Amino acid sequence: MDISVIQNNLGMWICAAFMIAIILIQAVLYLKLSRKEATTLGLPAEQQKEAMRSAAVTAVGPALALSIMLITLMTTLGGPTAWMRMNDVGSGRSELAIASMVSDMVTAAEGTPEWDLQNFSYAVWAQGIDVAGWLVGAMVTIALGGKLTKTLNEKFDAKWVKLLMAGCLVSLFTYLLLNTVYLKTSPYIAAAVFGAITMFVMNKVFRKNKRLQELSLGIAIIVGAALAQVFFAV
Amino acid sequence: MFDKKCLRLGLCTMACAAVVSFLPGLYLFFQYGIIPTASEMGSIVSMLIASFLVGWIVQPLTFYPAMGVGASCLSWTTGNVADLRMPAISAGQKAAGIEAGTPEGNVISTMSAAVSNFVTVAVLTLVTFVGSGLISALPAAVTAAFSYITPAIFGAIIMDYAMKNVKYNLPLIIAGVVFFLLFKALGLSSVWITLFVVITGMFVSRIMFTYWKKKDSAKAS
Repeated sequence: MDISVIQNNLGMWICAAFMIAIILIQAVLYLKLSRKEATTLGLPAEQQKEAMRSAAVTAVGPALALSIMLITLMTTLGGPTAWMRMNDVGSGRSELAIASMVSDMVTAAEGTPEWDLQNFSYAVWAQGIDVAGWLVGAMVTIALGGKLTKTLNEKFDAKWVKLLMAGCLVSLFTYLLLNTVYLKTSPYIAAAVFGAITMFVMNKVFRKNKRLQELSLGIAIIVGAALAQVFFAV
Repeated sequence: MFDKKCLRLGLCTMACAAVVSFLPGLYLFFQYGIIPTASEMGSIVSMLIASFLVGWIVQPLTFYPAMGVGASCLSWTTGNVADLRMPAISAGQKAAGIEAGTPEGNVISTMSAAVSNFVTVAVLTLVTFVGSGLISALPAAVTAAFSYITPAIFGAIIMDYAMKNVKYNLPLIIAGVVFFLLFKALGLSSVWITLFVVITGMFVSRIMFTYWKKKDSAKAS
């Protein structure tokens, strides 16, 4: 049987749908939990809505960027696997890498339908183990991290702990920025610079405009990427 | 208390996701009778451990202080933590006018991460079922611009932080650049560089904390 028929059959879609369902249920439960807690902490509903709107708008650009990888995965691994693996943890690039790493292990004669099926099965298993590895690693780390913050808060000045956490955030983004532009071609660097300039302008000129402030990161992303493409891409 | 509830919910849902992750493999086994043998499974596992184990542990640890429990659980279930979840969280906190590292900050980061998960599922599902033709039909210039989204996000966020709190954040950013270049020169891999930049950032924020405290009290007296 043609491998793409197997890759795209109903059973595979159902398996993928389970993962999507868990992701959605998890998000609903956390949303409920955090909204309740926000109300307990005295954050007005309007403020919560502003945060959620801004997060949603900001996520759209990067999510669209993922769709290119999704299409690549769809052609090699079929619709259901691509849909599932792009939605769960693990970057699209590493999903592809894993799929090609296992092909060396396949024992069936290359080019036969058996080879295709075996190769696909190995890839699917390896991806499953990778995702489980991420989840288990994160579960252990988060459980330990929770204990650590509790001790920090009990032993140290609360103001200092807050600064420490916020400092981690800034250091992390500094690293992420450098890592995306370090030794990269000019459009990448230009995108970062244009993004920064757009944010600067939004913060200075539209400081009073709440709605625009909410959208500022989303706008900076689009303007930065578009200007980089227009002026610097070859 | 909120953290505890978040952790419990996270452990349950993430364990479910880990189990479900094996469904496609099991389906292929029951439907077509094909599965890696025990020894092949062993080599798959050891290959993955060799390539990814450090990342599985170090990355969630690196991002944890910035995100808190709830957002960490949400983000490590759906991935794309650096280039999607973190910007969404940062935007949410900015819009609400709330700082990271506070109880309010953690609540907002959880909310923002949950919303960003909805957005990614919606966009990816749409593209999977109806939009793949649409995306392929886009002019090459538009799809090429997609790869510049990530540097644009990070440039904008760093600018935002620098403007928000120059006293603390500018020294942190400068120290980050110095240590990044230093660790690169030492030839460390990116997973370790991330962790070490964050750890050195902790020391820098301690130094800034004592420095500004001294300065403020000198001013007061």
